[in-house]
Amino acid sequence: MNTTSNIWFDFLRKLCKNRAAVAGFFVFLSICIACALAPYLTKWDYFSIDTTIVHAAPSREHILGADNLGRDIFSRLLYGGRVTLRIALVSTSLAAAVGCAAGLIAGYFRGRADFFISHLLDMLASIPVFMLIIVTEASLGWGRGYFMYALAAAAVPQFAMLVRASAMNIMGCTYIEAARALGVRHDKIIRRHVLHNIAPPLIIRFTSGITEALVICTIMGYLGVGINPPTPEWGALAYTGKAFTRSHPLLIILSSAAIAVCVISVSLFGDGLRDALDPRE
Amino acid sequence: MDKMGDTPLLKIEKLKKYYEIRNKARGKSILRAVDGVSLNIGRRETLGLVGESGCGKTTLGRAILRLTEPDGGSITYDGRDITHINMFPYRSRMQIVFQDPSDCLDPRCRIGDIIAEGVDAKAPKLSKSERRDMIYGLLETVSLAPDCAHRYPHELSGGQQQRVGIARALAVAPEFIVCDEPVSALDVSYQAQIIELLQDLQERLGLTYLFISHDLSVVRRMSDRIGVMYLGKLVELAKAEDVVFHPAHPYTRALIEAIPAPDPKTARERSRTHADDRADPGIPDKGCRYCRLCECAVPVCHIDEPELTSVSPGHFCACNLGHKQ
Amino acid sequence: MREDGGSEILLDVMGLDVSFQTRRGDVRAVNGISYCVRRGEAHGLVGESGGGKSVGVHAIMGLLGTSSRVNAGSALFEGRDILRLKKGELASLRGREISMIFQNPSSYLDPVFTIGSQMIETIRAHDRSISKGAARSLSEDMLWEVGIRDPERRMRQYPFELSGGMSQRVMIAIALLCKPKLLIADEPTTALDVTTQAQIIRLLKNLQSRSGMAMLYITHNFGIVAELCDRVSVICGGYIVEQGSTDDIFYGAAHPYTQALLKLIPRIDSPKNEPAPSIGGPPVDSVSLPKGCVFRKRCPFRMDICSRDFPPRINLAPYHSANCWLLELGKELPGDGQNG
Repeated sequence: MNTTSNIWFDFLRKLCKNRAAVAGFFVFLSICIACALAPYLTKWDYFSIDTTIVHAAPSREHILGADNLGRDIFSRLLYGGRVTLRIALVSTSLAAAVGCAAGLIAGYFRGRADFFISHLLDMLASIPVFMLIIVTEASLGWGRGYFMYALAAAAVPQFAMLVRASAMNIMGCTYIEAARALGVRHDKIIRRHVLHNIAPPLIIRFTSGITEALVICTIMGYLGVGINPPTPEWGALAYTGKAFTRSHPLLIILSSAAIAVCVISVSLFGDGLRDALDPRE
Repeated sequence: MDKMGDTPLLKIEKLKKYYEIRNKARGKSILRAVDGVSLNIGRRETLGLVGESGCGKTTLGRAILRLTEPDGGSITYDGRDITHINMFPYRSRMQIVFQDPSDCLDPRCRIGDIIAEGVDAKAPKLSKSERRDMIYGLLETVSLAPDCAHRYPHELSGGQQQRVGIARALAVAPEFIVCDEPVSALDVSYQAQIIELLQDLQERLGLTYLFISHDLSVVRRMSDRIGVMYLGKLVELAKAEDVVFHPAHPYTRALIEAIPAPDPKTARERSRTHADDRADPGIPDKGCRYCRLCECAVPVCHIDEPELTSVSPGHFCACNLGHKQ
Repeated sequence: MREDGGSEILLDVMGLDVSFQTRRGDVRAVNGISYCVRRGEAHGLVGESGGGKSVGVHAIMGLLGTSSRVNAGSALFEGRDILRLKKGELASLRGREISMIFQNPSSYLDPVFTIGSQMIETIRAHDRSISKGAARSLSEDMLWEVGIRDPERRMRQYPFELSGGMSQRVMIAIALLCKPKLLIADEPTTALDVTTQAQIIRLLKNLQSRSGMAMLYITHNFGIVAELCDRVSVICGGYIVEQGSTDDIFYGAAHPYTQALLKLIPRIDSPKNEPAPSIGGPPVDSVSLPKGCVFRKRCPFRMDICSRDFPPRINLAPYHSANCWLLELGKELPGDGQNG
């Protein structure tokens, strides 16, 4: 009997049956890979200005054309994706890790730890995200993407509260009591029962966390906070493109589409996960 | 008190468990869930514990296993006081089977993994094949097919789920098991099967049970001795036959009468002249806790709280009228 | 005990057939069951869980989910077929003419409203002309009627403040508010402990004899049937296998399944070391329903013919019938069916 791996096998099988989720997963994955492999996919860099090709139409050389400063749009989209996706993924992962640990401690051991952590989280949750971002940027240095940490900090309470509530719920179940009666140690109970049972909501929360981070990150880029030009970022690209919406709409369409496709594909994948993670079908 | 003569396996003395209840309207109050209960359980004996819901019988069972920490009194297991020690070495000797089989099995674990949890707790260093054989062996012990190991709890019926619960408890090879209403949530046909299984296991493995239930007819089938609990107190303790055929406490008599008649003739014969059935009498501040519902209460019952005293050899009752009735 | 067939038929269920669609295939939960409830009588539907006894009744009340389908049958209530009523008509019938109580009352009470407001709401939902004050006093009277000591205080309480027995009393009070002609009780005491169960049964018995309403009582416990019911239908695997008056069933059970269930009644006076009676094997799996008799896999007297066809209905006495090949073939049952 293979222990815990079985349930994940079942889960994958169920997930594969959901076409929308599989499609969402692969779309997002290919966008990520494309962005990661940007230097190999395009021979242009994202910052060289070539005044001869300002607003050039798509051609064999520049497959998506060039922008108002004559930079290759395809390269800028790929390199921009690197920045945007890295910020979204890293900030959400950080938030999940910290939030999960805090939530588990609070929810499993209760008592004073719970009191302390819950109030800390409440305080954190009461600070508006944008304020957090601006303060972080101001103190750590503008334009170098440090607002990633602010994004992470802002998302921690959501993860922690979710994990805490789920853990408390699970702690009320008799199978935890049964495990305690068997003399199973705390770390094993947490790994085996608590983590196993909070994994579904946590994974789903993680996917929606990514979409939220993506949206906030691009909003910041659009507003010109966070990333210094000429480093491209999807939100910043959209802002640049906005000025030429009438005459040369390609840039704003493509950059907005990149954001939308990422958000939708991650959401579809998240929905599929939610359905697949319930063993009761 | 112990009919077995030699030292009892489990001995609890004046065990207490209080809960603080916070209520906005009435402020703090203390719920005395278990209030000074003393009893012994001999080796290979089954002690039944009956009482209605809220009488503290489940709390008592959990307090004995220290799944909830008692607030007073002492628990002696196999000659050693375990009230305050680290329970870890005792976990494999004392086990519990729960009431609701659907709630006591982790819905995301396969049956094999659930039982493996007990196996691992007892013997963490088994090889893979030894471990698998142990699990199959345990499934066989509780008469489940080996292929159950690969199924999830929700795919099993209530009776099968309860068998898994029993197999998990047996995995650590305990000598004492608290059976906390193990059949109350089951269908009648499963009830009988589970009781049969528990009796069979007791015989084969030499187990000692504390069998908790609200249904005297079920307890009776299982137990050597029966303790009757009412609102946190033990009100009667005697051999099963004595409790059933010569009940000394008025509450025990009420419990016996509550069992549905086995056939229509008996049902018609039973004179249903119950005085006042109105529920929820509340707990009196002093005196006997049962005095407000008791049909033979005398004035002293509202003042003095009776202690558990012997009415005949091996038969104890906490009633002010005692054996005088 | 009333005489058999003494009074007029109130609810007449005929050939009811209900199935569920699941991933494993169609579950044939109820396979053409027929029974009737007369005015003022208490009719018991007895069987193990999963036997289809609840599903059949829920189908009549239109309480089944979307995955289920009523394939055939009719349910005449005072001559009207409930299964063919429009939604609105059914809704007005429910609560006013037919009320229902359930196993877990607390999940049928809305946690955010007080008992009082839920009761007043129920009364006024059926009759707007009753003033709030009148509805309040009606509710208080009804709570007193169902054995609640201080109705005024209870009216102000929320469902979570009540114990299980108390919530069931409140449920009964709500069910009786509109003076129904038929009360359907779906295992109302299964989740309660024995003492509370005895109180609820006494209460239902008193209420029934006072108001003269009919009752359809679903249970797996034959002991309750003995206390409460005038007539019984025994259900196994979605089929009614035996039907008769309570005395017929208890003292002349003809079907092996009924006999087995009767032996399971918890008895306080049985000697201790007598082996616990049990029905071997698992209850019927309604997905792969076997051809022939539904009980045959667990039946101690099974014969070849049992796996071929479902046994015909054999009348044993007026209003007492059973479906078993043993009876058709005129064989003596090894057990005498006596239980007392």
